[in-house]
Amino acid sequence: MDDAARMDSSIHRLDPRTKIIGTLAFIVTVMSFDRYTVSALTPFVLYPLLLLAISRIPVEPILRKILIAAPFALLVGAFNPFFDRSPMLHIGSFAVSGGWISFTTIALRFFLTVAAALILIATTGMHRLCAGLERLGVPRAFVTQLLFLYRYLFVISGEGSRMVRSVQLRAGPSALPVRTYGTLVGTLLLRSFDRAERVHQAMIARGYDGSMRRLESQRFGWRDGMFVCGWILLFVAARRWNLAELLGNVLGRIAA
Amino acid sequence: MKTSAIDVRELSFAYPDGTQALRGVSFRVEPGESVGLVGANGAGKSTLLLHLNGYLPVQRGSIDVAGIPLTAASAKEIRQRVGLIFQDPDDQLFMPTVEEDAAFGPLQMGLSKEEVERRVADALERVGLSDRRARPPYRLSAGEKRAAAIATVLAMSPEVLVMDEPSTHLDPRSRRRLIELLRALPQTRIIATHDLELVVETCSRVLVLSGGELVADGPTDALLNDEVLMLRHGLERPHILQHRHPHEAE
Repeated sequence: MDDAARMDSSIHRLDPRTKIIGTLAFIVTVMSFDRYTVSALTPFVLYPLLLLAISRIPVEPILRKILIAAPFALLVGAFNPFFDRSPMLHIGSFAVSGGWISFTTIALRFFLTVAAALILIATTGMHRLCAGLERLGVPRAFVTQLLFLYRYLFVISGEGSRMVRSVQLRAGPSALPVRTYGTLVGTLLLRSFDRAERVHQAMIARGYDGSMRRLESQRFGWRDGMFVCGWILLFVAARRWNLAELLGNVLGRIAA
Repeated sequence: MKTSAIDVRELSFAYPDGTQALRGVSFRVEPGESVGLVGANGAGKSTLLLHLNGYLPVQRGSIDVAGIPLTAASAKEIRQRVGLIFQDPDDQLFMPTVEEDAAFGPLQMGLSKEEVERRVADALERVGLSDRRARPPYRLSAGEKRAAAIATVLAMSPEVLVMDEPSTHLDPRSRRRLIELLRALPQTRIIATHDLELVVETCSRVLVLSGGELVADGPTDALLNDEVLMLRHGLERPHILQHRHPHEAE
């Protein structure tokens, strides 16, 4: 994701606030559809696809991350086909139950919203994203925490895996008692406190006074205005009218 | 009279749990000098270092940096003059990329964007990391992380560099590069370390701390060659003073 964020494109150059607002509007609109709506959701595929195409960021890492998160979302809808068996749609002689339709919309909405959020991070970078959030009025303490979580997640997970390895080497082939994991988590927490203290020392030593100044200045230009207004208009239109159905009808009439 | 870069007088410090970490420590460091600070674990080295740029408050005694007394009011200015480089680069490199990390200090100083960019470029060039500027810290080698940590402080143009165990976790080649860098830096340097051979190669003078007291202060070769003194304070005479180090032949 960091590599993708360092690329350059018209999407990368947009103000982070623009992309945050665009992504939020997209997520809210997509999530506002009821659980039996499938066709009206299809035009929303345009947003992630166009952003991917214009920014030219690699698709594979995004897809891989979506797949990692997918089991959680699919689990939420996995029981729908069993509980909701009322037939809602007939394709030829085959009846599709409401459960399968709602399962499909859950999967589709998950795919769309997670893709949009990942594209936001991949075309903005965590640092600029946090700067944008702060400019949008998100409390500074929260934004700073987010930035540090992102920076130290790797360090702490590395520490954790080294601790687990050292315990396993001494424990032999038998499974570890759950209590051992409790101790490990506690130790990791204490170590994180110590590290937080040392990071704070390093920040104070370089003049930290509660606010983090940034090299990059943000400017909301006409391109940003066009991006936000254009997409929000499209989202509202796609929410109000079923664009896929309209297009189908128009094409049907032309064909007739 | 010439103003010392650092002038510490009768500095004492106790932690809130009552541990007396420093007892009446006094020394002066002249501009451009490179001084090694050695002592066993718990001798008070890190506590002394954290005093030198005002992180820990002066409880008793005084510290002057370039003639300016260190107080709560002057701490901000002192921090621009005394750059502290911590033992673990992961503590020092807290921003998402090397470049942003190097820019952090100058930006906090309120410098203009052009000046910050110039300083960041100069500092990264100095430590040989110009081609790593956009990298996140977790994708640097141990040697590169150390160099990046030094660059983040060099970008603030400090007059004094204070380092805590700069050679920890470095392979021989990275350690050699560090020694060459330390020798080439024009700033006044105070280097706290257990790596006595590094002290021999980079410092002309040594301070020996033991139990929070300054027990010896003098030329590197004379003090580190004093086997009795070294053993008494939990140290040992470095091999480099007995044999020529093989890397020096390069």
